[in-house]
Amino acid sequence: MRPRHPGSRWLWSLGGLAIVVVLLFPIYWLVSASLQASASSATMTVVPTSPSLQGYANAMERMLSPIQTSLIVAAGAVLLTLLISVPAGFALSRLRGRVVDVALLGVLLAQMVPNITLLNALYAMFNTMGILNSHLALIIANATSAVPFAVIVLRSFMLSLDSEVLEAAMIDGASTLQRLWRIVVPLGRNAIITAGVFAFIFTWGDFLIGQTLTRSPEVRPAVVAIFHIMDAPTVDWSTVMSAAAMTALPAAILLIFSQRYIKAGIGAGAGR
Amino acid sequence: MSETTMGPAVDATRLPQAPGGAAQRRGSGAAGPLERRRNRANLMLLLPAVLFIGLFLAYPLGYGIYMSLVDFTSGTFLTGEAPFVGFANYAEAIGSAHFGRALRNTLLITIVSLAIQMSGGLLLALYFQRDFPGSRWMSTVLLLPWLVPLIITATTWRWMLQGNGIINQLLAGIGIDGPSWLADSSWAIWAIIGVNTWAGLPFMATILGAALRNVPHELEEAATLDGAGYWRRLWSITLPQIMPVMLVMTILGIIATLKVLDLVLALTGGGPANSTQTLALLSYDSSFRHFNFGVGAAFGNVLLVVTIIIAAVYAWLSRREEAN
Repeated sequence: MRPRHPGSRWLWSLGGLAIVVVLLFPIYWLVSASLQASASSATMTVVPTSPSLQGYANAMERMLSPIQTSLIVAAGAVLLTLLISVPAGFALSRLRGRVVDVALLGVLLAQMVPNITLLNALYAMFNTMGILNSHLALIIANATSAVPFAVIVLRSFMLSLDSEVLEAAMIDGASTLQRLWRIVVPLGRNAIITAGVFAFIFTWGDFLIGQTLTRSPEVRPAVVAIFHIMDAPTVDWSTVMSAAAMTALPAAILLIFSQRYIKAGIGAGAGR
Repeated sequence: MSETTMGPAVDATRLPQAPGGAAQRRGSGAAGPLERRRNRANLMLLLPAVLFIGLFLAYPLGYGIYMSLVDFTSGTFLTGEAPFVGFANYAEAIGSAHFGRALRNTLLITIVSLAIQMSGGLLLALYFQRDFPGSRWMSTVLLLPWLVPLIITATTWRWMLQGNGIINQLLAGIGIDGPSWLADSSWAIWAIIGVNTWAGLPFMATILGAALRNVPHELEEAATLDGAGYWRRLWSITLPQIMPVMLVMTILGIIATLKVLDLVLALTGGGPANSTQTLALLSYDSSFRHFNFGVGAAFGNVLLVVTIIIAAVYAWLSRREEAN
């Protein structure tokens, strides 16, 4: 079974390529469909014979505002998540004993709670607070999924931070916040980027929170908007697919620029 | 970098078994005044997280229990009235015509997709662990389906799975007359399982790939010297070494799949004829389509209990394993 001849390594490459093509075919199909205006699933061709951007033009009209909403909500959720998790992750990497056990258990349990169980109550709660159907509601609710994960990731990275540098700063009389901002944040940069990337991925891809906590189109995130276009009585699939491609694009870009963070983060938290 | 961070990182997910291991070792010296001051400062840093989790996770969970015990409808938002009804909501939820089916479907989706994801992910990880031209970028590119939002995955597959869609065109090419997958009540659940498996495969492959890289080389080399072939080494060395990671992945996979909702909603909406109902979907429908929040909360809590039971079984199993 082991490749013995140099030539057989290329056979493995060929096999790998075949696996990639098969597994990524739906993504190709998405892009291909988005370029074939007014095609039905029966008339669509594998390679667009006369590619058209009409679907994107249609989708642009309906997706511009939802994508803007998604960007605001994702940025807000990333910021809120990091503001809460960076200090907590750092503290849990330095503290010891019972506090850490209890906190970690709490965080792990929090990660297991099904979104729908939480959303029932959050809906009622946000309604009372008067923030239902707002960006703020979406930011908070998305952070509830991202915070437990981020705390676990940040803590496990920060366990390896050198205590001596931190101690030196402490003896110099730096306050806790100074210590955090001037030393922990720069040293833990990679971990913070990882946690931030994941908070972004969760929030960008979230459907359930957006669907349940919003009622008007102005605060509808992109993923929810696609669902509404698709659920209309008559579906123009090239528009839907163009909208989907536009919304999936950040994922592809993210993969290119932060693949090492994504891979490290997947290994670290593993809990979506 | 991923190699160096993977070690402690994967350990972190197993912390319930070895609570605070690394942290305890770190500061085993005597607790001086500086130490105490630092502990106080660190406790302060935990405060925002404690407040946030308390307010937006713990409190809503408690409130969800309250909601499940009262008659909480859309009228409640206007009048504030929610008469106590005891376990009536649970009786209605469990007694509902679709409960049995939803429970079966939830377990079926979870077990089948996880089994395929685990074995498929392992095969992929083993394949791309080999050193051949392109193995690195290929295994990275394979992550893409996992990064794409689930609704987009579902949208694309809904288009591909239509009666005259590409899947059936391909099947026709080899002489098979495929059903109208999502509209056929005996096939729809399998279509959902297929799509869910596809969406979760990259994640599994990536984790298991990282676990494989952590298997010490010396072990494999020693076995090779002893004359063990590829399969023998795989079975006797590699698999036992990555078993802890596979256990963690199983439990996390179960918990993640139990709550799968967006996929079902976008592929079939629970249809045709309720053949793809799940517990999460019933909860969603009760609350946000029929505005019967009490029953929705009851369904949600049943789902939570199932999750907790599975997590508890896992904790018990891993503790027993550790004791051995």
